[in-house]
Amino acid sequence: MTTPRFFFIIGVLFLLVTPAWGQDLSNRIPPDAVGAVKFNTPRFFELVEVDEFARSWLGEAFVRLLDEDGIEQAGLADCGIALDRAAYMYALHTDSVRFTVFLWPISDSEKMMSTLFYGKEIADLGGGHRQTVDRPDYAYGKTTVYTWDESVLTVILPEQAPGYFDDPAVASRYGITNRSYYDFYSDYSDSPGQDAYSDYGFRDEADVESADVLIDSVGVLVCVEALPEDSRSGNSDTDTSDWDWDEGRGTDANVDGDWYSEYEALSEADQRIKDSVLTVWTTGYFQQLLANASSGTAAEKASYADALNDEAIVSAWIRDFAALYDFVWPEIFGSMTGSGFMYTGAMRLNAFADKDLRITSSMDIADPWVRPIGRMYDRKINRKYFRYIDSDEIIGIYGFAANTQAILEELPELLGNSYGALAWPYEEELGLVTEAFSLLLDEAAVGRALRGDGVFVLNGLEEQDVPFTHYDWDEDYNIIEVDSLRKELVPDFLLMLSSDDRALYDRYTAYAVTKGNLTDHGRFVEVQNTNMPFSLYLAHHRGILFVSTSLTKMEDIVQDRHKGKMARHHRRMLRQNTAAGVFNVANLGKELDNAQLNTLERYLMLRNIFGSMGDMEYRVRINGRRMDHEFVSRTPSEYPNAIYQLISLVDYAMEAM
Amino acid sequence: MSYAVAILGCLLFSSCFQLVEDITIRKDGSGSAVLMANFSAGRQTLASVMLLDSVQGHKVPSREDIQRELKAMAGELQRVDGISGVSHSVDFDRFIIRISFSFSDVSKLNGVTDMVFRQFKIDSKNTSLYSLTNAGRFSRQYQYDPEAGKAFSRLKPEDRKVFEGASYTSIYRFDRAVSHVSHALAKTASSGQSVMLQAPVIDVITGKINISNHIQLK
Repeated sequence: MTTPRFFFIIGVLFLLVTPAWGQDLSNRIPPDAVGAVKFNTPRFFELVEVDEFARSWLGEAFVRLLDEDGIEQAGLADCGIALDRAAYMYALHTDSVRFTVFLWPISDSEKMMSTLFYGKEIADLGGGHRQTVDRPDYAYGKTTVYTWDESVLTVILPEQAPGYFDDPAVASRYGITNRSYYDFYSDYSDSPGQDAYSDYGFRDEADVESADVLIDSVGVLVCVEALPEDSRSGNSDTDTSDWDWDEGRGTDANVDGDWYSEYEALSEADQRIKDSVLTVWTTGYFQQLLANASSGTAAEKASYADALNDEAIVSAWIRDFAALYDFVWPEIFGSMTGSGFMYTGAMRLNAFADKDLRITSSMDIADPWVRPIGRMYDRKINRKYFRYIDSDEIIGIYGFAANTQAILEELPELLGNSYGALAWPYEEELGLVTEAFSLLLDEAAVGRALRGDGVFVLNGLEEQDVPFTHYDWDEDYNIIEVDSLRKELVPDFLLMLSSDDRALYDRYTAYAVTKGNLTDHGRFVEVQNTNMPFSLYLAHHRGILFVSTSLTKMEDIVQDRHKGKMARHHRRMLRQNTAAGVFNVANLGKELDNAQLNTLERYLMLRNIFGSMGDMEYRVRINGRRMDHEFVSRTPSEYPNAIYQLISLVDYAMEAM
Repeated sequence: MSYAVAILGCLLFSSCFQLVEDITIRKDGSGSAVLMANFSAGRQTLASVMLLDSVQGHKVPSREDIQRELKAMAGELQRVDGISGVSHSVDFDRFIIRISFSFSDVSKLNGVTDMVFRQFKIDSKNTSLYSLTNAGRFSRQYQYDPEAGKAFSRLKPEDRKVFEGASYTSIYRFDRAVSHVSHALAKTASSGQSVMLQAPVIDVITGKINISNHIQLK
């Protein structure tokens, strides 16, 4: 069974359970984990019936997967995994290795071994622990280590830390050659004779010095003898008949003088050594976990407890943003100082499905950023926008409220602090540039021209008369170009930006008109010479800069004929948040009646999908030191909650495909 | 001529396009030709398509790509024996493409067709042969290849749709009066010296209409 398939099966299995409590696996998450995710299966099955789920495409997919693997099942819950307790995942890294760890509760280890690990080689580690290792079919694949006792299955995916084995001292310790393609290429072009390759043949024995004891920063001691024979020497006895070799290549050196084959063989031997070392470290790490079981856990941290919500079906916790950045991209973020990061401390994320699908997250803002962020986003959306928005007609709105002047004043210094380290060795020059930028720029003037808040409204598709040229002929068949109009559907959107500087707008538009880039329509202008498939109109009216694709709407706006009707809910969303957006799925579905869909099947499919979805909303709010995000997908009334809606959508999508 | 279709293959995402070949033939067999492709009716769609990288599995060329290809083709056209004075233009506002050239003899037009198919790597058995006899008989013989129709029927419905409403028009102008035209759909101008043939592009592709035509001059 492949690793991805394993996780899918496990993931589905978790969703089939009768609630009952057992050991809480969160106590096994080490305090130095980068982050953790909790899969709250008991909560999930309070929201959806087991039988309902089992009948869905996802539930049936699990049965199909097991059938394909030759595992006979009486039912979905017969794999020995305890489906009545939450599962966890966490990540951990050292300077040499990164671990992604999954913790799955077990109800019956014998059953699990006979099903999920059927046919696998299982080792007894002692103390009631057993292990199997899933090795990849090819040299550059990933290894997975499964270790379990009677109550918990621990799945560890090790990955080497970037660049760790590139260090010559480390490489020589394990017999890794690290020969690069260009080494071979340059050697080949310098010395094309066959004899020159004899130095690059496979090593019969480990003629590279290796340490008696291998130590990595996790503190696991591993003796070199613990490494598999074949990976130490690079002279692999591994059966390569299944490897995806090109014809004519193999592990033997000097195959028809083919230096590239030799390079490939050495490279893959190196990879297998690294893989073996990682496997040994992983086992050592697991043993260390057992040994240090009582020395603290992430669950004891206040930020962890604060992050997880028992009502959520999935919760995630990041211990510290700096640790996260360092985990994701240490080469870049490792050089940044603490003051460079905008966020600090823990991140919390929860997904709820009681009725609507709601995903919330919050992050703490780092001290150096608190005051600037507060200044940069101290504005509210201009209320005047609301008279130009009709909530019943829109497909989507996105609004944001920022302070342009404050941004321009604060950003140069913030950028210098954050990214100065990334600009090495030009940090000083970057600082000078940002300072010059501040000196030369009149932030207040720019802030008057564009205050910093705006709204984008997508109204859908509008039928417009579009000119085109048609050829006709006179009586002597001389060509006549006839200009006509035809109806075309064009996107109808409106962008509004607060602006106090009407004089600046007038100056620029007047100039552009004389140059032919704009056409003057009196109170508004039309943009010319664009590659866009629709016309664009601009106007500055009542302290707002309008950009629209609709001629009729623009005429209504500048003549104060436009009458908007904005729902109170939408108004509140835009006014109370730093940024907010709404996507009206029902109105999008109505636009499909107008859209030129090519086939009836596509039309019906899209109508059924959009008809099963409610509105989507997104909001961002800054509360002092905290930045909160929330995404909501409204569940239509015919579904009891978001999970039923999701199952229904997946079922329909699979059917339609 | 069919080479207008080949040049603009990538622009065939628009419906209601017009392909026009307008050839003037003098008594000595020399003359001039103007080829036009008018995609103006679909300019909205085309403008949208050209903002994309690919659509319906087809890569969308940029304006520079189209201009470069046309320039290359014009260069190749100039090298064809008997062809001179090649000029081309592209109007990206109305999406109209125009190519014009002069020829020393009607038979030289046959080399143009071959060149276009080679340029666009089109392996087509559709052949056009132009000839003018001493007796004043102008012929355009079009050999239809059934494979073209089969290939068209294999297209996805949305790809076939772009050809709906598209028309092909050929106009032959002479310095003498026309006495007889063989094609049933061809019309003679009131001046009596020009002949026009119009057909839907789909019918030409599927072979429903053959655009061969023989014109007897007085």
